[in-house]
Amino acid sequence: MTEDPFAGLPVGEKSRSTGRTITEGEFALLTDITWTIGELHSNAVYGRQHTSFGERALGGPIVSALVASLAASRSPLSRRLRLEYGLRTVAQVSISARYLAPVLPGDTLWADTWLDSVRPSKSRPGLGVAVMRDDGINQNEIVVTRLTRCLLVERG
Amino acid sequence: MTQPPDVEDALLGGLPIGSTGRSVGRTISDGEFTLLNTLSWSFSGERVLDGPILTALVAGMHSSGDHFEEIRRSFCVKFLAVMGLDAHYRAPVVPGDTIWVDSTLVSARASASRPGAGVMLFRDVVRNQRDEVVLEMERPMLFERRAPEPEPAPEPGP
Repeated sequence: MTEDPFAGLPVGEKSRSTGRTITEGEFALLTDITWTIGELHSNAVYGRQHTSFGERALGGPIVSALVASLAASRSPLSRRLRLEYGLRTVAQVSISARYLAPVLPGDTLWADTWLDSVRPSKSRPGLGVAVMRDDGINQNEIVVTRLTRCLLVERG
Repeated sequence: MTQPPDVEDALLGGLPIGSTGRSVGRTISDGEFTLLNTLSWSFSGERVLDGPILTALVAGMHSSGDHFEEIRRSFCVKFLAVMGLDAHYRAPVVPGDTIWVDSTLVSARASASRPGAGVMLFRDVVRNQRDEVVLEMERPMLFERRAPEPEPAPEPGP
């Protein structure tokens, strides 16, 4: 019987990334470059008059992209998986996101990340399928988004 | 929570379920690629557009295009929020690629938790310049219906 090359990984261990403040400039750049032109995201007067939070909100898919990057590049767990366990992402397979609260200009985000599961790939010998879960947290400890990322990985 | 039939009809009646629309194409130039990966802190070093930021581009391409605007204007829809997304990456997008988004309004239903609001489900299929599918995605969006604009008063006769 072949040994599971993905045994021993720290499944369930949670870590928090460094934080990232979404400045007004970054908010505008991210909104514009992704063509997110709805008034909820681009019109401050509309935000004041038509929302309960009184501001523009960052588009949900932008929020999930920022939190996924915090999780992948700025969390101690992701660093440990790379450096201690030799885990490397070969490809991104899928992402699921749920948006739970708005992200406004000036908000600060962190990603709480954990490895939910990892198993050998059935179709790609030598590779594995890792499922990462990330909670995007703001400065008030409110969960703004929940992500599930499925990655094709290899272990060096 | 079930809504009365007349409320549900006012919310969902006439919506163009099954309608589709193709976005304009968008070439991801080298400059945009660098900006997108840098702004999103995608530091992998790969010359491949990061998957999650690709989903943001696709959502923007649809919501800035004719299909979305037609639903918004012709059916008096006010979109309130994207509730989530489920995306599957099928092929890499690299600098210089051009992508198009084919979007379909798959379904609409009353919201279970927000009286008077509904949830539309959009399905996006993203293709590149070689007609390869690079991404498939579903996005539920929370919406309300507004009262139609009143008909303009007829011009006074001679």
